[in-house]
Amino acid sequence: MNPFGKLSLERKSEITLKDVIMKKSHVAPCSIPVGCPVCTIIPSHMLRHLSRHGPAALREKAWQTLQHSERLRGQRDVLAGLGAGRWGVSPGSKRRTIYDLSHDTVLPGKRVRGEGDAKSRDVHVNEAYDHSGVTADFFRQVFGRNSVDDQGMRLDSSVHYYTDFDNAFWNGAQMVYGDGDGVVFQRFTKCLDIIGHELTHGVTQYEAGLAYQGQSGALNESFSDVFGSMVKQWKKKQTVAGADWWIGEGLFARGVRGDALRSLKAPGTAYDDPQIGRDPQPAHMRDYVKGGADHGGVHTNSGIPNHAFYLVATALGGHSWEKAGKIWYDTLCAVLRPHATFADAARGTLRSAGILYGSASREQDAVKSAWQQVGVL
Amino acid sequence: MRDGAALGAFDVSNMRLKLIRTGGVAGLAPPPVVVDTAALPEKEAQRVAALVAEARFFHLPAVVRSRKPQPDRFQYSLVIEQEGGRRHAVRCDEEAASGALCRLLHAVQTLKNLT
Ligand SMILES: [Zn+2]
Repeated sequence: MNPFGKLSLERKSEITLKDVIMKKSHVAPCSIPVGCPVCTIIPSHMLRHLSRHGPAALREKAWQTLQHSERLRGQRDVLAGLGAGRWGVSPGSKRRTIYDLSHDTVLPGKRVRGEGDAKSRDVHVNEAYDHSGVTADFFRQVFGRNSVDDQGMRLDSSVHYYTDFDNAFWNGAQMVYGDGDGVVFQRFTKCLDIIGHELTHGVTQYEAGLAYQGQSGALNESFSDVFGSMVKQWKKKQTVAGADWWIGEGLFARGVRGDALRSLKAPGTAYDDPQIGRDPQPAHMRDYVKGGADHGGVHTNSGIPNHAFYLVATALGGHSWEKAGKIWYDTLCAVLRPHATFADAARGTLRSAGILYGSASREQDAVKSAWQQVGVL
Repeated sequence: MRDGAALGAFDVSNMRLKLIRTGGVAGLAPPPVVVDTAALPEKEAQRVAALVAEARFFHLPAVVRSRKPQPDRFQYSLVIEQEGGRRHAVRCDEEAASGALCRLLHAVQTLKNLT
């Protein structure tokens, strides 16, 4: 098959669609340079958005175009693998701002470092700045995503929340980090994957909008762990075989018996300590934890979809973000709805794998097998 | 009601507090913090009494839930028994708690080192 023959057709249909969009909607014009030899005219995120939220008349057309362009993207992967070309997205600008709460809790606090400013003497400030930058670069370079909302949203982080605070969170608009109590936890800015986890909560908020309760909440948590882990692997240029698949490695204070907060490779084995107990994560549906605490165990049951991702990525080999990551990203952005269940995620990733790599492809088989192994399918 | 009364007039009768925290990015469920203010240094006991009054704890609804929970936030369950038998229990999402209630919850959580 000649991909370039197909490309010209592809471009034609997208130009038509773009013409329609420019007249009928308020979507901003495409910013990807047209000179790029193998790039689509309308960014896929915009097509995904239109396929879900666009005017009724456009939804189906957007979805069809997306399917075609996703197939093309699969072909581009092959071309890139052969060294036949590059179509990277331009580095683009980030807008990071770090605030210091000085142990207060009234957000955001005092502005201490903006984009491009010199390093601070405070390691918390510099880690929040650097790790949020790597995360934004990862989303842009791997998925063509422009910040948390895909519209270039500012990345605000506040550090030194309260005193000895054992947590980090995304409040719907910004990241917040505690210092840790020094007994169980060190500072929460320390780990790249934790900051990747928090920013991914923002991405999920703007995409599938997964409700933070029960299975949809556990999926929300899982997407944050999966993309947090990928950010770390991408930064370290690790293959699926070389990665440790831990979340928050090195976050525990000295003396705590544990490697990390969670393990995607072996959920339930990240820590076992007399003070904080044992990692409660299941890796299979038969061990799904029922109960009301933590919004229905969102940080516990995320072990099941976390492990499914690990199984897909390791079955496919190479870098996790190249194939498994794309399948998960497209499912998050184009398929899942706020009250999605694990079964919806399984069917959604199967569908995305089929669109990206073809039905009954090796990739789609790996997705199916993974969800079967964790007892969801 | 006396709870919001003038500063310096806190009810310093002994209180027993039990705080359970769940959630957070780590998803840990640390052991409950159980505090008897009689066992605290005078200054700490005063501070806790002041925070209980400021939060108007005994007038809060039993459940303070967020309509749209924020990812990785804590949830708390706080029970306070006062000498004389007054008892109240509040379950809340951290992001739905008022500033005063938040200060009380955070303060009691850090008292774990004093018990
Ligand atoms: Zn989370």
